[in-house]
Amino acid sequence: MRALYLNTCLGINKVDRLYHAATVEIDERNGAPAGTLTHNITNTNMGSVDSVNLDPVANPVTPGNNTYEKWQQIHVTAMGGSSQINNLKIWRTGALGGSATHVTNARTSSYGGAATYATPIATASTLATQTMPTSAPGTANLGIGGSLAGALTATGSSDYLIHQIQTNSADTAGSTSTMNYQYDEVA
Amino acid sequence: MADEQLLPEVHACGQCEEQFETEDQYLDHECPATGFTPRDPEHLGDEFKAVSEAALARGAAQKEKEEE
Repeated sequence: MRALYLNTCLGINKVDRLYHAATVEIDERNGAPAGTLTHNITNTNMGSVDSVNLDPVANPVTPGNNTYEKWQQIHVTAMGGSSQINNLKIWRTGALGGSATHVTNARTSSYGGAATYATPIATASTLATQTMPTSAPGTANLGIGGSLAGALTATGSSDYLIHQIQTNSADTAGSTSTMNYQYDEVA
Repeated sequence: MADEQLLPEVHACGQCEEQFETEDQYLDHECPATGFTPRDPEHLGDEFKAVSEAALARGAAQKEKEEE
């Protein structure tokens, strides 16, 4: 979902405006710093390896263990006709298996600023410490330039979204849910 | 940690898996998997393009309503 406010000056017609949206992708970094930044990922499967677009069946998490952290960014590759991208909101929809918890650094208050990339870990994350929202937060919960009020006015990326699933020994392996990445696009 | 930072950054395209030394090289490549560059909305697929167009139409309608 986006909130878009487009200028109608300069004789821009509807067709033109339709083709001037920003182009935005989700990226993920893996490995030891600086790591490999994979652009435009096709899924955010989480498992027992630090790998992008991983196969969760081949890399399952043993109940009681954690997944490897995911380090992801919202990346604007073209501004189109927009002047600003802001108000980043991250949440998950769908239930996890058993009593597993999904934790993240995304938060609407006491935001920790932009994290410096570090090799993803499968021990309990010290950066992703807040429960992932299961509905759209009321305000931004992921920053740009270290601030929840930040904005991109040219191509560039958000702060890192860090998230991890932490399981319990009684959990059933395997669940499917959806990650939501929302931004506002302003003319 | 300092040694880790000396490793070069690698940019990989999630669609064609080709690797690049710089972000600009990635952004400028015409992806063989999509036929477009990552700067083009079409590179993100039909669903993104449709959602993007629908959002723009909503924004335009709201803007026109605000100007009335």
